Amino acid sequence: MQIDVREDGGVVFIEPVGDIDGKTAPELLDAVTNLVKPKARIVLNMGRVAFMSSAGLRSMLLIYQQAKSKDAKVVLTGVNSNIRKSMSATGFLAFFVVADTVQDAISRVG
Amino acid sequence: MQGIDIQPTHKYQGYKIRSGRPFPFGASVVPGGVNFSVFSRNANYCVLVIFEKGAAKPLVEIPFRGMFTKAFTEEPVWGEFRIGNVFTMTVLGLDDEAIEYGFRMDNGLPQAERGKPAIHRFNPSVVLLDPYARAIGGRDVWGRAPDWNASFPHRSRVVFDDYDWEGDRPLEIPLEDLVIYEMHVRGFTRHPSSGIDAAEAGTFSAMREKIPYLKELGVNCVELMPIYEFDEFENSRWDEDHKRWAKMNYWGYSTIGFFSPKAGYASTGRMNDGTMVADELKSLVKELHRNGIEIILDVVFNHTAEGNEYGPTISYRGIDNSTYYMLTPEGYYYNFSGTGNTLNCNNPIVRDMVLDALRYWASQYHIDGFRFDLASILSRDPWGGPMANPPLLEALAFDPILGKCKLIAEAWDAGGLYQVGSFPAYGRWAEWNGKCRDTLRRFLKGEPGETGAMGQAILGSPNLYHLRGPTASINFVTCHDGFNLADLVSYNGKHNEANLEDNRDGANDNASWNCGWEGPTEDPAILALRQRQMKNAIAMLLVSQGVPMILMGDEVGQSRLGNNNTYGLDSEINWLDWSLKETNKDFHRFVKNMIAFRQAHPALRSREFLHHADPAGYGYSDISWHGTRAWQPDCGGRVLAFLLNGKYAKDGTSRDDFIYVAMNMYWEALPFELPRLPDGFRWRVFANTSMPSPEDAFDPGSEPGLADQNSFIAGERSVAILVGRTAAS
Repeated sequence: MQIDVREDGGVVFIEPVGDIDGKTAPELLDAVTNLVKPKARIVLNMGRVAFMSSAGLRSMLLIYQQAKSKDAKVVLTGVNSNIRKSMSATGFLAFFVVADTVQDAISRVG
Repeated sequence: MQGIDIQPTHKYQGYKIRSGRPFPFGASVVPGGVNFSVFSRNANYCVLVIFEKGAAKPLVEIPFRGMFTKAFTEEPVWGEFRIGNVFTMTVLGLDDEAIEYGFRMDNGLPQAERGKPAIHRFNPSVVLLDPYARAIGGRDVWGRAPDWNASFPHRSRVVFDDYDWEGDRPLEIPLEDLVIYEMHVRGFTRHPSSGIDAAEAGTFSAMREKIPYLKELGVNCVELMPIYEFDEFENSRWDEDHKRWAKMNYWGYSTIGFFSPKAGYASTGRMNDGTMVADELKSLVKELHRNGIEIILDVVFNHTAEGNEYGPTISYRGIDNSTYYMLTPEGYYYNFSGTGNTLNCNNPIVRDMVLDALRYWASQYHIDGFRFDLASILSRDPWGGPMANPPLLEALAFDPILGKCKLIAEAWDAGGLYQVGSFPAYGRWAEWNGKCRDTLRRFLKGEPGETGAMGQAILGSPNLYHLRGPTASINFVTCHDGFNLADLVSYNGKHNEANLEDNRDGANDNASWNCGWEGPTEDPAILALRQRQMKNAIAMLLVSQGVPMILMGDEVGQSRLGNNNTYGLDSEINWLDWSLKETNKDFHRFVKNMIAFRQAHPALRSREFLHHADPAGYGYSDISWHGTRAWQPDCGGRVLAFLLNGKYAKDGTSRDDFIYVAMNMYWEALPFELPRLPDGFRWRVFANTSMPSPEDAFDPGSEPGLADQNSFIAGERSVAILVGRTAAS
């Protein structure tokens, strides 16, 4: 899976491209794990993810848990309404800070 | 470190496989692949059929026995993947969330004919659902018309069991402290008045949103009508005139799979992702627990959706008919359930399946307890005879994982067994107390001569459960079967025409009373009487020892238009009307305050029976009986009063006020002489159903004192509840 990563002003921007499912979730997890440094500030932009399966939801939660264990912060943005609904119904949404815009995400990641 | 058995040994049409692990049954995600395991004693041939999700044609059909090639060369090799009577293989490299699977089974005998009796019903042309499927596809969105011709309509799916419970555990609230709310997941939020988005209404997640409503009501346990996968289209009928389903299997007492939540009850069902469905339900359970609310499942282990000789082959009958079902010697299905077949629950294999399922729900979903539909069937042997010591019921009672789960029996079946009071309990089982329900109803409608039986009901039915205690008694006036509360006081007879069975279905002995007019009326006197009778019923239920259960909708006095068997109606008649909370706010407030009163008073929640004795010499026995004259119960009439000594609350381990309850089911007001309290104590009124709101029930703790401390006038057909405590308290 294509994962665009850039850093700007101390914030790491991660932008996966494509569906996050049983095939791609491990790739995303591998890529992000390396970026979750202690006290890192991460904006995960989901704007180019159309679909997320339950394996995808799990990779997101694993990212969140890693960040928490390293005192890092992850803010989600660009989550489409379908994914948001699945995340909400399954309870995964409650773990995350979700921002409506990238700008908002930057301000909330601290 | 990776295990040394991750490498395949065989290959079949490009799929790499090796012999599997028999336990656990079903499909499990293992390192590198998916392990499949299925039992059949009588099949000698089995094929694993794997589909891409939703596809009509399989991806591959892998036999459990035959010629394969070696995993890393093209050399032919024989393989058999079976241990004992269990077919098991691991398929490596499968995308577990992208597939659905089933089995074909055969034993080489001529096939049974539809409608004819048979011991075996193998049919290798049918792809069978895995009895241990943890998610089932095919009815993913409630009411979405399926492909009726699909050859494999109910499809087993693979589930990730991992979930972040954040430390959640079952609550283990003592049984005597529960107030149970019997409810239907879809019915709870499907009504437009719920305010939930139409796309989400009627689901687990919608229910989660509405937990504050339950919390406000004060119940601390929900009992969900069946949520195991079932087919809402079973025996459905389309109404062409109104372009809607006139009848569906709305209640769901017809299980397809015992390990799978009903996908159509999940808002994520539309994602065709079994794990999301599981996550959604787990998330509901976690949130209920956070709010101090337990969750009990109404489970149907007495029969399956496969019906009788004419029924469809979905799973069990095609896997091992004579193991899963009770059969006559000729091969007809015994029908103790009244629905066509009877699960052979005391066969050792089926017994293990029931145990496995319940352990799975208790451990993976943190379910707090189970209510067993037609539980008396679980005490029958494979030939249908009731057993004195049924191994399944004993195993459930002593199971280590279910050790703290509530086990509740509907202690009868459709084959004539009626075991209320005699259900094999092993010190663990509670029962839906149908006798208590009938007594409460008869006393409520003013039948004379019920005071003795009513006294037993107030005590938690020691006449039925003398060795088991009041927690064996789940008390209720109404449940999903029969009239609901509003109809109990509005109809003398059932009005079930909407069920399309010419009013033949449903119970005829309802012990109901319409208060003077059958059905809806504008007559203010009748309406007032009905309102009071509903309050009387709730009051009697909540001051009785044992475990009270309230039916969804009764807390707002919703009517089902006299229909006492609404199993097939997916309509407003069954959906909770949220606007009634405002329309009937006085009644809702009464129910809420009654629940709060019960929770505030441990004297109402004894674990052991009260003895009508005063062993500690307080001067008042734990319970004493009264009538219009103090200390003199009126036998055989329509009046009963009792006094609880709060010093004996919770078997003397807790302290409470004196509680005095006067029940006057006579048609005129009567003066009740009050028992004298110790010096310094005063009577206060908590509830008086003959008063208009808000004086019908005060907020517990703020009860006003009574001017006349010696007598109390109880209005016609009313209940009064007094508390006695010192002036300072």
